Amino acid sequence: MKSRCADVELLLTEYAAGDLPVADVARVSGHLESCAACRDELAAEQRLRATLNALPQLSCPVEVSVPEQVVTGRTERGRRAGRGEGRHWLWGGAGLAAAVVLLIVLLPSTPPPPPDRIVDSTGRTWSRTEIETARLEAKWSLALTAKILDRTGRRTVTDIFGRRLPRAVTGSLEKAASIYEGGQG
Amino acid sequence: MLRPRKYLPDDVTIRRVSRSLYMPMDTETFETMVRALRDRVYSYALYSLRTREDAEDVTQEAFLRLWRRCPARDVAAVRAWLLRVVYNLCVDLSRRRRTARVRLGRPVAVRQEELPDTTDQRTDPALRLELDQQQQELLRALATLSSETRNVLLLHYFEGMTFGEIGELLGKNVSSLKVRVHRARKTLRGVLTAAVDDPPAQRQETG
Repeated sequence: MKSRCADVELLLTEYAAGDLPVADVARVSGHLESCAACRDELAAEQRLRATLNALPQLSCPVEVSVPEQVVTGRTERGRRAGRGEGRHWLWGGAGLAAAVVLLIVLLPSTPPPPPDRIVDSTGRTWSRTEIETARLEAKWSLALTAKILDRTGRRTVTDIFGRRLPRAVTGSLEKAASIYEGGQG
Repeated sequence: MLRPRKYLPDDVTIRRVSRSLYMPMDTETFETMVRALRDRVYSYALYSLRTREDAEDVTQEAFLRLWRRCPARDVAAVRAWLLRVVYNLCVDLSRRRRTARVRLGRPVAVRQEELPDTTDQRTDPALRLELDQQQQELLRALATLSSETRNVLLLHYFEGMTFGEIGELLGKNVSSLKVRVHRARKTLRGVLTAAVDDPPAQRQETG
């Protein structure tokens, strides 16, 4: 059965790159022999590939000296924004203290080792699994909070308490995972 | 009381996060990474953003994050990690620029034909000197795509990554990446064909 053009067109990028499995290569090649429109599409793909592939690697004109920036606690963008360094660390310290207080209030206590069950002040009974889950959440929240506080290096205290910290502390673990992977940081 | 979460990390993940937060890369390893990857990262950012100043900022920021987080010790793994960071930085910066342009608006009394060619103005003059005519036209056409699509194209064609690698790097579905590139190729063909017929002053970028 003859492959439809729409199916083949989706494979042309990998076909031109040589990344396509052998079975698909035969199918695409067979279709290309009988379809002028797809041959035209393949030619466009090859032109695009050749042009972007040939873009030269340019020399970075500035010296990347990150350790020095870390020591001074400021980036190029930070300098442009003209934020005060001393004030920034003062507010960072205030943010840290506030976050610790917040965590003490919000998080359940996690004394080792966990008992089989706990009855809290409302009369609710907590199983061992629930206690361990609560501990894990507490650990993760602390790690996340530490990361957020690290980010305060480039934020003002208005940003932190106005928008970021409350949302971040109660934010999803998926967001925390993406922060670690470099996604949202 | 804390709300139940869909996903809970295990202790190993927590230790990895903690280690990445507090253990910066040693200076010698970091300098090796800078020497090996700085020009590549800068070139990618420059082709994505097309202004030298933005590309320098993104390069500095990417290596700053590398220094702070230390995700790996070998160049290949660090390169992949850096590409993801640079992808995110470039997409974020393009979105901010675009939002700023939309907010600023455009004077309604001025006819489209009288507007300056913002495409040519945004491309760094130094970059124009480095590229031939065909490459310049293509970069201008790339600017008409969304920032995500433009950066996926650069990852595939300029960085030589397969769709599988890009999908893994960005956490995206491989099939959707193929469709995205296929549509982008058709859009680029249209833009490049129109560029032959239309005067430059009538073209506008959206990225």
